[in-house]
Amino acid sequence: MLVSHCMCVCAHMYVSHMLSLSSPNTVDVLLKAVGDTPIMKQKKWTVERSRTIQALSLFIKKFLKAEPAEQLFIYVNQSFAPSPEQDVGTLYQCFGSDGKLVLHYCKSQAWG
Amino acid sequence: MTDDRDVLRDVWFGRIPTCFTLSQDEITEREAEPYYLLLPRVSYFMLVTDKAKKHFQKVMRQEDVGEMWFEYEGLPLKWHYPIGLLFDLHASNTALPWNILVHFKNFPEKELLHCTTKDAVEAHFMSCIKEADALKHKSQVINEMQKKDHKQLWMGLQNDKFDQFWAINRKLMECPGDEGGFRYIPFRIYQPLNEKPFIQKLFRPLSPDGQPHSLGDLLKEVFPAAVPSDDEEKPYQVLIHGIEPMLETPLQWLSEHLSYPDNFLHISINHLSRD
Amino acid sequence: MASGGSGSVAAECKRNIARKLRIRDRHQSHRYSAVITRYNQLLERANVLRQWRDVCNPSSVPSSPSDVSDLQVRHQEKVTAIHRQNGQLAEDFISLRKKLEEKEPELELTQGRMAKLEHQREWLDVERRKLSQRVLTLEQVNRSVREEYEGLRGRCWDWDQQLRALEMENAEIIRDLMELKARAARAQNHRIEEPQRVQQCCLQKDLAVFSNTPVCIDTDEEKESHPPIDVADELKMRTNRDKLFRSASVSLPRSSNFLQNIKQLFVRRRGSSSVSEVSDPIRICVSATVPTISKQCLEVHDGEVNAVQFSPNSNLLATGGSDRTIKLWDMVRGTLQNPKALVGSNDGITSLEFDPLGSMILAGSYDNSARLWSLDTYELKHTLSGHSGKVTAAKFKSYLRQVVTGSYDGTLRIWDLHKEACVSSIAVNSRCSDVICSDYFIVSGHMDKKIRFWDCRTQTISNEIHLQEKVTSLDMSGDRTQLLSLSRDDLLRVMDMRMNNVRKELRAEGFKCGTDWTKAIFSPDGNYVVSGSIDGVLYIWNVDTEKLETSLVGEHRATVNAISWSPSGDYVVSVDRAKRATLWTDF
Repeated sequence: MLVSHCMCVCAHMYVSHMLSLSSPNTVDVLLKAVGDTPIMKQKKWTVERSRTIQALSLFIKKFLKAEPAEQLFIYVNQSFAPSPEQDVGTLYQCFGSDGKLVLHYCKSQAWG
Repeated sequence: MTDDRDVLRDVWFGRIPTCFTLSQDEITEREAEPYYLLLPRVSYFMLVTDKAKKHFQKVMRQEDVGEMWFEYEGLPLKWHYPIGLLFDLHASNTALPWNILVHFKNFPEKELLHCTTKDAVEAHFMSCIKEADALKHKSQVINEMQKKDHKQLWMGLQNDKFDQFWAINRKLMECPGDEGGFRYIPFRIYQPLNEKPFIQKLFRPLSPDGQPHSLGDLLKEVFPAAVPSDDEEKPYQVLIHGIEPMLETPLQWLSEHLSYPDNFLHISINHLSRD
Repeated sequence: MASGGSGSVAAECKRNIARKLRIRDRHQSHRYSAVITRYNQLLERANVLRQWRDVCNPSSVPSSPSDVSDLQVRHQEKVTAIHRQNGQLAEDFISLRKKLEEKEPELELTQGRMAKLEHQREWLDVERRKLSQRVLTLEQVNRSVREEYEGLRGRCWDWDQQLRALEMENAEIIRDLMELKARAARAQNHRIEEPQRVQQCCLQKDLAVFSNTPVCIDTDEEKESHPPIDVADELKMRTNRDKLFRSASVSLPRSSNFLQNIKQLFVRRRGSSSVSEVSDPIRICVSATVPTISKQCLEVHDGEVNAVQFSPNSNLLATGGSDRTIKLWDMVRGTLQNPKALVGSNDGITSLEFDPLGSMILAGSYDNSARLWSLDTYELKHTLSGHSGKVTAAKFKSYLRQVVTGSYDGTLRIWDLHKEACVSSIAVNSRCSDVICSDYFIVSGHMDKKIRFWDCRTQTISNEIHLQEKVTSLDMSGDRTQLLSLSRDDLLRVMDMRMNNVRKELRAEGFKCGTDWTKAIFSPDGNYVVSGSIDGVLYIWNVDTEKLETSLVGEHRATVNAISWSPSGDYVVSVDRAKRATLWTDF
C-alpha cells in the first residue's frame, strides 16, 4: 500500500528557496558539510516532514554531482546517524533547535 | 531488586522459534530442508543467521547465491529492526514457529537496505544508542564513554553476552540523582501497516509537578487511540517484547528495563481483529 | 518522588511484567528449544552421511543411464583436465630445475667468497684480540710506572722539604758563624789596635803635657822637642798603614798575654833605637863547633814547639809553637833569657825566619797566613793571607823584598812587601812542606815525594827530583851551593844546587824522622848536618865523610821538631813536641 510509496524518492523534491518559514508540513533544514566533503551552494532548505533521510541523502548526492551508489553519511547533532527511513519531521521534532534541524553530511564516517 | 534483574535477563534471553525455508524461486541442486533456529528477540537478523545461510548455500551453486534477504508473508523483513520487534509487529498472533522465507536473489532494492557486512549492523546499532542517549542525557553519557566501551556494547550484543553488555549499558540507564528520570524517554511506536515507519516524539518521564508518567500517559499523548476508555474494549494490543505491560507501569522504569539493547523502547501497536 | 500508592501500583506493574515474560518464554522458547536442537543434530548427521556417500560413491545421483554417461563424460573431462594440469606441472618442474642448475655455480661462487671473507674476519678478530691484549698490558705498565712516579715524586718532595730545612739550618749556622767570626775579627782588631790606642792616648797625654810646657825656641832644644812629635806622627802613619794591611783572621783571640805584651812593648820601646838602623853587625861564621853538652833545657811554649831560629847576630832566638806565639829569647852568656812574646797569629806557628838584617821576623802559621813582625817595635807589621791551607814555610826571597810561602794547599805564593800583596801563585798540586829561596830558584819539598825547582827567570818548574818518601825539610848551605833534604825514609840527602843531583846520602842507625815537618839543617859553615830524631836525640853528620859525627842525648822526651844552629857556630837549639827547647853547646 503506502509503504513502498515512502521509498519512492527521486521523483519529487519540493524545494522553496524564498519561503524560509516552515509550515506544519515542512521543516527548515540546515545542511553542513563535514571534512573535505564539498559544500553545497545552498545550505538552507525547507523540506516536507515526510521526506526520509534516504531521500535527502540522494538529493544531496545529486546536488553534489556524486554517484548515487557513493556513500553519504548524515548526522544529527554531530552525534548519531539516523536510520535512512526516518523522516525529517520526526527528527525535527526530537532534535531540532532554533526552528531548524541541523544536519551534517559527510562522504566518510565522521561520528560513527 | 532481584525482580528487576530477572526482568532484564528475561528480556535479554527471549527467543523466538523460527523456521527458515528456502524460497521456491531459488535454484537448488537438490531439495533443501528447512532450517530451524531459536532467534534472540533483542538481536538482528544479519547477526544470527549465518548457520541458516550456510545450510542453504550447501544446496545451491555458488553463482546463484546473492545477498540473503528474508520475507514473511510477502513482506520483506527490514534487517535493521530488532527481531523481536519484527515478530511482534507481523507475527505475534500467528502459530509458532515463525515461518520465514529465505531469498538469495531478486533483492528488493526499494524496500530493503543492503547489508553486506556486519559493520553496517554495528553502525546502525551504535547510531541508535547515540540517538537514545541524545534524548536521555543530551549525549553526555555516551560521549564520555571510550571507544572500547562502545565496542564492548556491540560485542556483548553480537556474542550474546548479557553481563558484558550490561556492564556498560547500566551507565546509560543511570539518571542524575535530582532528576528522577531521563530528560526524554527514547521510544518508537510501530504499527504493522503505516505510511510512516514509526512515531517518535519528545516525552518526559516526569510530569511538570514531579509525578512519574506511566505508559498510559505516553500513549495518551502520542497514540491516544491505543488507550481504551473504560467501557470500550481494547482496540489495540500494545506489545513490548511480546508482552502487554499494564498501562500504569511507570515509564521511566519501562525505559530502564524493557528497552532493547539499542536503548529504545520499541512498542508495537497491533490492531486487534474481531475475527 | 512516588507516593505510596503509586509505589505499590508500580510494584504490581513490575510483577505483572515479570510474570508475563515468564509465560511468554514458556510458550515461545521453552517448548521448541529441545525439538529444534534435535532437529539440527539430525540435519548435521544427514549432511555428514550425505558427504560420506558422495565420497564413497561418486555417482551420487544414479537415476538414469543418460545421467550415468553424462557423469562419465564429466569424469572424463575431469581426468583430461587433470592430465593437462599434470603435464603443465611437469613442464614447470623441468624449467625450474634448469634454473636451479644455472644458479648452482653462482651459489658456489658466493659461498666461496663468503668462506674467504669469513676466514678474513676470523683473522682480523684474532688480530684485534691480540691488539687489545697489548693495549691492556701497556695500560698496566703505564699504571705501574705512574705509581712509581707518584711514589718518587712523594719522596722527592719529602727530600726537598728536608733539604729546605737543612738549608735553613745551614744558613742559620753560617750566620752564627759569620757573627762569631765578625766578633773575633772585631776582638782581634780591638786587641791589635789596643796598644796603638793606648800609645795614642799616652802620646796625646804627652802632647798635652808638652804643649803645656813652655817651649824654648833654641836650635838644640828644637831637635829635642821635635822627635816626640815625629815619632808620634810616624807612629800614626804606621798604624794607619798597618790598619790597611791587616786582614781578617780566623782563630779566637787570647786575652791572657794581652796586658803583659803591651807592657813588654812599652818597656822595649823606651830602650830601642829608631827603625832603620842596623843594630849589630852580622857575624859570619867560619867554622862551626859541634856541641857536646846540653847547656840549658827549658819549657818555652805551652804546646808543641814547631820552629826555632837564631837571629842573624846570634843574640836572639825565636821559637814558635802551637800556642800561637813567637817567643824571642836573649842569648846572654850562653843562656836563654827574657822571653818576649810576639802575638798576632791566630793559630800555631810552623816556621820562623829572620830577615838578613835582623829587623823582621817572618813566620808561617796554621791559620793559612804568614806574618811579619818588626823586631824594633815588636808589632805585627804584615799579615800575608791568601792561602787556603796552612802555611808550612815562609822565607824571604833575597834582594827583592819578597816573601815566598809554601802551603798545604798545594801552592807557592810570592808576596811583595811594598805592595803588600801576593804577586804570584805557583800551583804545584802537592802539599808543600818546606821552601828554600836561592838566587833564581825556589825549591820546594812536597808530600808527593818530590822536590821541585821553580826557575824564577823562566817561570817554570825546571826540575823535579823524586824521592822515596815525603819530603819534610829543605835547607840550603850558607854558600848556596848545596841543598839538604830530609824525607820520611829517614834519609838526608845533600844535593848540588847547580847540578840538581843527589850527591850524598846520610843515614844513621836509630835516626828516625818523627813527623812530616821534622827539620834538618846545615851548620853555618856547611860542614855538618844536624837533625832531631823521634826519640829526642840529636844526630849530627859530617857532610864530607857522610858519617854520623855524634848523637846528643838530652832531656828531650819527644820527637825533635826543629833545630837551629847559631850563625856564630857556637850554639845549637833544638825544640821538641813537649814544649821544651834544649840549648847545646860545646862548653
